[in-house]
Amino acid sequence: MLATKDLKFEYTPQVKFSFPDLACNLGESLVICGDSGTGKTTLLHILGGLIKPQSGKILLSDTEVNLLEGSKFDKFRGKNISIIFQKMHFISSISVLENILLAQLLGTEKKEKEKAIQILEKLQIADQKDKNIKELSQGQQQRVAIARALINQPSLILADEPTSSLDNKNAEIVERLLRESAQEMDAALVMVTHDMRLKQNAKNLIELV
Amino acid sequence: MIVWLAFKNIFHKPLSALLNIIIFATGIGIITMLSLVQRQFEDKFEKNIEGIDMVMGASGSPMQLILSAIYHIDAPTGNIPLAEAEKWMRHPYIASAVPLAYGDSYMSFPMVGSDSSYVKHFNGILSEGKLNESNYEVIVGSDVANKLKLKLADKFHSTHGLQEGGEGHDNIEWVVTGILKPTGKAIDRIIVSNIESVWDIHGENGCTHDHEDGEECHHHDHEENKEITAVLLKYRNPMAAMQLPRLIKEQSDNLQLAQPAIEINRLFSLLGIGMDAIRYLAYFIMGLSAVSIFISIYNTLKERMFELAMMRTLGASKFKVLSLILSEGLIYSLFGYFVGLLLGIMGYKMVAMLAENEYQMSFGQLPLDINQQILLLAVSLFIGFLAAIFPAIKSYFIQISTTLAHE
Repeated sequence: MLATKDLKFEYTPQVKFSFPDLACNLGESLVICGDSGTGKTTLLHILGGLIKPQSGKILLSDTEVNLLEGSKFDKFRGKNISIIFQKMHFISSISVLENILLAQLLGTEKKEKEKAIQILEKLQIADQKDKNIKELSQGQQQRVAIARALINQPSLILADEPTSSLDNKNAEIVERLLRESAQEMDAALVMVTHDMRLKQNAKNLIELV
Repeated sequence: MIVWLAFKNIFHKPLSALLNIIIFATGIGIITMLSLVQRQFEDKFEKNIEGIDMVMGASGSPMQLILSAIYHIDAPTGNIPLAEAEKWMRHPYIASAVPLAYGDSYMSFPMVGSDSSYVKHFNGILSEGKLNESNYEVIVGSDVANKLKLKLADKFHSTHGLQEGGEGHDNIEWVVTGILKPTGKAIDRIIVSNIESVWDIHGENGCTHDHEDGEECHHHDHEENKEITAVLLKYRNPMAAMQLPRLIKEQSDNLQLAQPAIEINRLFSLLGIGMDAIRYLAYFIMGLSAVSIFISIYNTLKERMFELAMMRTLGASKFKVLSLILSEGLIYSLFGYFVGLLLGIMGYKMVAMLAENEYQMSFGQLPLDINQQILLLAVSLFIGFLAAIFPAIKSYFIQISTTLAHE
């Protein structure tokens, strides 16, 4: 499971955050919400291992994430944590499928084309696999981002505002996709959002203030 | 994987990649071509002067004497009296002497009258036929035979002077009795006869013309007035090198002596100035290409900051991102080097073709200097490294969180 304790982060003495403790079992999901400036993205980046908290503990399964350093940390992150950013970033010089395979190579040093295509099929974008990312619509790009997040079967999936730019119908589809996939892969899903629609469905909710 | 991705990144912008590679390749190509041509020339020129310490001929430019007597790519400086020349050819300081009478040609290939020592001196070996024995029999070098498709017993008329279309000696027919194997030396493109034929042809025909261009009549009929054009000399000992030039100068002031080694060095150093100028230009172009590679990597780096940060979140270490950017620089330089090598070789082949058409000088095998090429490759990689190292270091220190948070 994912659990945190006494996480604190300080940009400047004036801008500092102290986060409530979180807990999320594998296969379940947690929604973190809050207004702008409450440290949502900061918390997400701390959980994703992109920045280090000043103090506190993060436990993912049996690993104390905050103690990892350098390329060991990079490796752990690649293998166990997937982040779906609000704005999606892909390597623009390679195809959809190659982007997924790159994530797999970087995370696990394996390259399983079949598996990548399977995931793309499940997300109904397998027919786009040889296209360049830029040729895809926003919604399709989001699915590719999800596919990339799932390829390494991580134990933690972090999503930053996954639905905020989508209409009701698509927001519902994406939310369901994320929840189902996390369940299927037995991963903890943490979504950071200010989207009311996500809040309503959340069984497990934490509000930042 | 990193190298593969670097490839993809480079050729994602094919025009900019092409430009970088072309600039790089131009620098490499010029350097390669220059050294190929230079080596080939030096090799050709030096091979021919082996065993010739001194050339004796008529007064004039010493370089012209060397270029005409040894390489037959220039007009003769004039003639010298046979009697005068023989005095020195038999001198005890002289180990060997090859007398030459030349100035005529057939289809632009020079004809040289000499005795049997000529072919022997240049290590000519018959591939077919026999050595020339009597007047108007010739043996031909391998290039001559190939280019003019001459066979044994073929007959032809010669022309006065080295250029095609000169006055012809139409009533005399030469007969091919032998064809030489390739030697890589000037003799490959020379038609060799005995001296008596040259005297004979000009005794009967040469002196009846008016030489309006002021050119001397080559040879006269009378025994005592016989002339030759030049003599290739080899000294018996170092003492001869000290004494003989002075003796000849004192006693025969109508003769000129020219040292092939000195004249050829002078020629190389004259050519060398031009070559150096072009070579510096090539270095400048390579410097330019380093700047151009740096700019294109640096420019795309700005756009790709998010991509690189994303790669980091996907598990790529700092070092991996650094080596990705470095690989791009190195791939540019590798491509540049190999395309440049190809361009250089192509350029060299073109020069070789030109030289062949203009001077009937056939270039042999590709004189590629492996050591120099290894050095060039190393320099290329260094330039690629230099162009990429600054952007690479920048990518090493990407702050993932702030890069991805501030979009």
